[in-house]
Amino acid sequence: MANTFGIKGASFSKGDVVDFKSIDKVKVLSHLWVYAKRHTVRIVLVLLFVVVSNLLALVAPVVTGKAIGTMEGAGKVNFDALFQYVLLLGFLYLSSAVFTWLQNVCMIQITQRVVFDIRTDVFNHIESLPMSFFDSTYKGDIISRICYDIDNISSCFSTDIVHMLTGFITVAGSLTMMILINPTLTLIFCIIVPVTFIFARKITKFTRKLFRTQQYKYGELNAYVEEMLTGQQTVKAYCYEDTSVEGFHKVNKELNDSGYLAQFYSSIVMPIMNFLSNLSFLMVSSFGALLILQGRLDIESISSFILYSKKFSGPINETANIINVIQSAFSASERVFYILEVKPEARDNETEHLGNVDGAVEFHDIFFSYVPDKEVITNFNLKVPKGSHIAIVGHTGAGKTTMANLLMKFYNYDKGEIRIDRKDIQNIDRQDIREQYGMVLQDTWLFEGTVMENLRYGRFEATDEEVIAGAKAADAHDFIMKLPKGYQTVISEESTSMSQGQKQLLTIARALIADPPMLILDEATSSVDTITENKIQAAMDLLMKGRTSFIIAHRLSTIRNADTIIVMENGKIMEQGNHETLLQKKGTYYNLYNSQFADV
Amino acid sequence: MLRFGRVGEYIRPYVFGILISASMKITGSLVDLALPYITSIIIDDGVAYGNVDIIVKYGLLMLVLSLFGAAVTLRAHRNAVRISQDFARDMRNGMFEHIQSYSLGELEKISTSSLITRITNDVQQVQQLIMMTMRMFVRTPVLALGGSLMAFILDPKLSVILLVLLPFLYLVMNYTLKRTKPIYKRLQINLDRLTVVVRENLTGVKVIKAFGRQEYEKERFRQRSKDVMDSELGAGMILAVVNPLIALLMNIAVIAVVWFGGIRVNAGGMQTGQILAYLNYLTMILNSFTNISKIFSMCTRAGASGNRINEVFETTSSIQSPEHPEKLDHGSDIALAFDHVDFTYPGDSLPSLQDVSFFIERGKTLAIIGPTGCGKSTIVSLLTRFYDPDQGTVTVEGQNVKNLDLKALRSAISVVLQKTILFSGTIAENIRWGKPDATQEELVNATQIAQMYDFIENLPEKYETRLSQGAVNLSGGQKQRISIARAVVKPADILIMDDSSSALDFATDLRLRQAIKARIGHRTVVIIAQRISTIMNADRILVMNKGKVVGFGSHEQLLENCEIYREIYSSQMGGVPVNG
Repeated sequence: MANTFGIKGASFSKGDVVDFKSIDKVKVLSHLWVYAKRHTVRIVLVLLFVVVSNLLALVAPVVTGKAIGTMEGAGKVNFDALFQYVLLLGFLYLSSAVFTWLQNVCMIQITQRVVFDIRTDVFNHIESLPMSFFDSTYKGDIISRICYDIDNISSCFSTDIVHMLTGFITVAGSLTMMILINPTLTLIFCIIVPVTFIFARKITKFTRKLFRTQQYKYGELNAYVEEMLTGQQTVKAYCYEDTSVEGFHKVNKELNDSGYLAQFYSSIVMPIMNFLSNLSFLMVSSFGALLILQGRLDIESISSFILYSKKFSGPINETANIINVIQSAFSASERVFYILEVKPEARDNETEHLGNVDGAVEFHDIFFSYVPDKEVITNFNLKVPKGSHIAIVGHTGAGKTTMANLLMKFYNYDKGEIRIDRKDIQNIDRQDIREQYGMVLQDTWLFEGTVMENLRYGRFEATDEEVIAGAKAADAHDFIMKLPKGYQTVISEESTSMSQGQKQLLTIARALIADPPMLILDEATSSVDTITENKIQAAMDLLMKGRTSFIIAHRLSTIRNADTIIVMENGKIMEQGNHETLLQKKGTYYNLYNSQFADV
Repeated sequence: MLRFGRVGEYIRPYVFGILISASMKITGSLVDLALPYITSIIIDDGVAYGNVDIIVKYGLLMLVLSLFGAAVTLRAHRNAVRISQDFARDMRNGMFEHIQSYSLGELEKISTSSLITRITNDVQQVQQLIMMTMRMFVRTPVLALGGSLMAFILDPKLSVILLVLLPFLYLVMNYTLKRTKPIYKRLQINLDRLTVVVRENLTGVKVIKAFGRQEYEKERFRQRSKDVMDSELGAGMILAVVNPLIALLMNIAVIAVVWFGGIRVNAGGMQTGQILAYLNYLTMILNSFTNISKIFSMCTRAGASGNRINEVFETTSSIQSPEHPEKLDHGSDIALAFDHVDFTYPGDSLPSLQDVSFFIERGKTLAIIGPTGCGKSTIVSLLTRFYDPDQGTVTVEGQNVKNLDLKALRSAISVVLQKTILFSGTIAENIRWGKPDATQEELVNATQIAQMYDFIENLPEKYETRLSQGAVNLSGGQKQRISIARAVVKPADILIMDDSSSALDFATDLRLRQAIKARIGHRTVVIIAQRISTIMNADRILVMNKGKVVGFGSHEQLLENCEIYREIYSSQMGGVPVNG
């Protein structure tokens, strides 16, 4: 029999992942602005502090000059005046220090707050994304974006932005002074400016791609490490260490190459800018000499003009010096904000609400495909009376788990209608629906936390007694008590001290404790031995009693007692009925059932 | 203090390059410092007197010098980039290689999330420090020392002020380093903890959505993100004081120089011009400190990161290949054996295996069955030497696994692990993990045995179909069968299947077992399973309970003398088989 079922999410080919998945400049800035806007007061304060501390710094040399002016020679120092100036200086320097400090404090608070907000928003956004997003991305890459890319932004902003701010004021101030002194000379000085700017623009534009590649390669490296370490047991079992290291070397080399290019091309900016500013100085002094010869300029003016021109170039050179930091932060921002641009699960038109559900579920002409033109579920019709137990059997890939996915609204079906208590689930908030189901999956998932916290995940209000009762019912109590700290032992998905079957028992206990109105058990006991399964059967029966339950299982012993058994093949219902009637039919179910007793 | 450890070793090959690069950068900076002097000549002697000759002469000199300066700086930057990038590459390669030598115990101890942070973010911190040292930070001590030296030469007596200042400067630096060091250590740990939540949310997304726990997870993330912010704020607040404080100290020196200078001038010991020059040098020193807080934060953070990197290297695998491994000589008829093996997982208080003994002859099939948590998978972990037993010996082909080369051992055994892990890449690439040079026929053969052939043939791109990470685009059974194909294609004499048909329906499972028997029946097979029907025809069956052997023999023998086996049997075969 041809299996025509497509591969879930296959539309996300590797090509998509290789795509940089980032967004353009304007969008980055507008995103950043949204966050910065929240701190308008602090930003204004910072600007104020910057201006004041800079002004104070500008005044101080003048006072120093005056102080020195009180010393007319040996025995002719005016100590009274000197003392006053010294006092004034002390005041100036002290307040300048205080303002600089305040400006630093404000800036750090803004930066960290912004970074925190971005992190929170990105993570919150991820929580709202549809399953297909998770199917198609590399975990390591997302980790890299949330944890390290944002860290990059943070270290750039906290110090470099202030430098740039200060620089901006200095540049503007110097330019004003230069124009005041001599507009013609300023024009000469500025001849070079366009060249400088064009050069800087060209370089930044050129290196932007390189930095993007660099950040992307960081993500790729991260994804590689995450994947290989997660699969470490397999790596070892297949002696794949060398190949894995080889693969790492390759990604690492690519990172090295892209990092080198990005950093190198950005590092040439500063020396070249420096050279250009020296060149413009030469032009200014040559032309200035000419003006002096013509008597149109005096020596003092040109001296101060040159001093200001030096001040003008200073911050520009400094910015050029840290352009690599700024650019990698910018590329990092692109990657981070890209996540925010991914569309979340479409909001439902929540016209209806599920209160206390009875649990009557209806499937009406359901069609579904993960990728266009590859139907996984075709014309699926089923009526599930409230409180009945439905078992879904069929070959692997027949669409059983897909049915569970649709029930939970993890994916939206293409055509048809699923109704709970006669309400179309399209009109119900997906969270509302999910709350109705207790789901036990084949893949266990435990998070880093105590056993107690993990068990309580389905219902936080559960008392310790209820949790322990649930664990006992799932036959998990005994082995939990043998863990080093019992229910307070910290476990995670990586824990070696529990077997796969024991982890599965914990997830069953978690569902028991959650006590939901309806149940979906997707191969819930596949790694549990049959004796234990029998032991917990009583608890499962109790849990399922009077509740609509969907049971997906290969072990036919666990589904014999279901009210209705549906046999799926190629996304359709092939047979439907209870155990006895299906056996009498001598069809697919009959063959499936008998194969479990067959000998090799 | 900062331990250089392995990080130091990785820097060592570049020390010469770093010195060269730094001195080039200093040369470039000196040129920058010389230019103002030429400027003053051009203005004072050239422009002021309209002396075009001087302007041209010194102008040309200046042009040449600044070209030279630009060239030297460019070169210095290029070296700095090259060195820091190459250092980071070496460091990461070294770390990854070392991590690959970890046994599972070490991996769990440091945790995957933390290792990810260390290999990327921590290395980046050190790398950035190295680059910034060469590109910017070298200027600071050079300018500070140069300025002090010039000041001292100019007027040793006034320089007493600088000497008085020194201990204060030292105190400020010492205080900052001391206070920020633990905070930065904390910051990296907090980043680890943040990584954990993100990783868990990406892995467990289905469960989180199913339980509707997004808000709870958001709060968990927010809390950890807040911890990161608090560390950053803590360090930032301390560093915020450094710049203004050092500036204030230097400016106090300026005031002192003005005051005492005034006294000296009054006494006739000094000219005002000298005071001016002296103040210029002080300003030069002060300017060199502009980057000081950045230097501090980068140094301390890189120091914390360096220690974390060193930790990775200092953790060595408890499981090593012996120095003089024995060769697998296939001399024994017994393929596998456990001899009175005891084992407790690191960190656990209770043993997972107690006095376990069994064996299986070559070419035969051993089945292992027993209740959840009885130690079945642990036996596999000891056979493949993921862990070493505390007591007793594990032998493969009659040889103690501890005496065999790790690679030789693991090449001799092909395992289908209980938890199916596939990697991003094509189906063919995944199957070829078993045998990198497997031919198309071998792939087909393996997928036929694994009952995967039809499925793959019906995919548009067949064996070249791409799987995403964790192969989420396949069903559980499909994944499991690819991992079986991967194990089958591996040319190993021993095939272990750890509960590897749990996601398969009975019919597929049956065909799988028939195919294994018919096509690779010469291999020694170890099957761990829950289903009696899967194992009852094995040559030997090992029944485990609570880490102990409770039965070992054939199906018939066990039905007779093993109560647990009987119990398992009746739990599954309770119903009367329907014979058609």
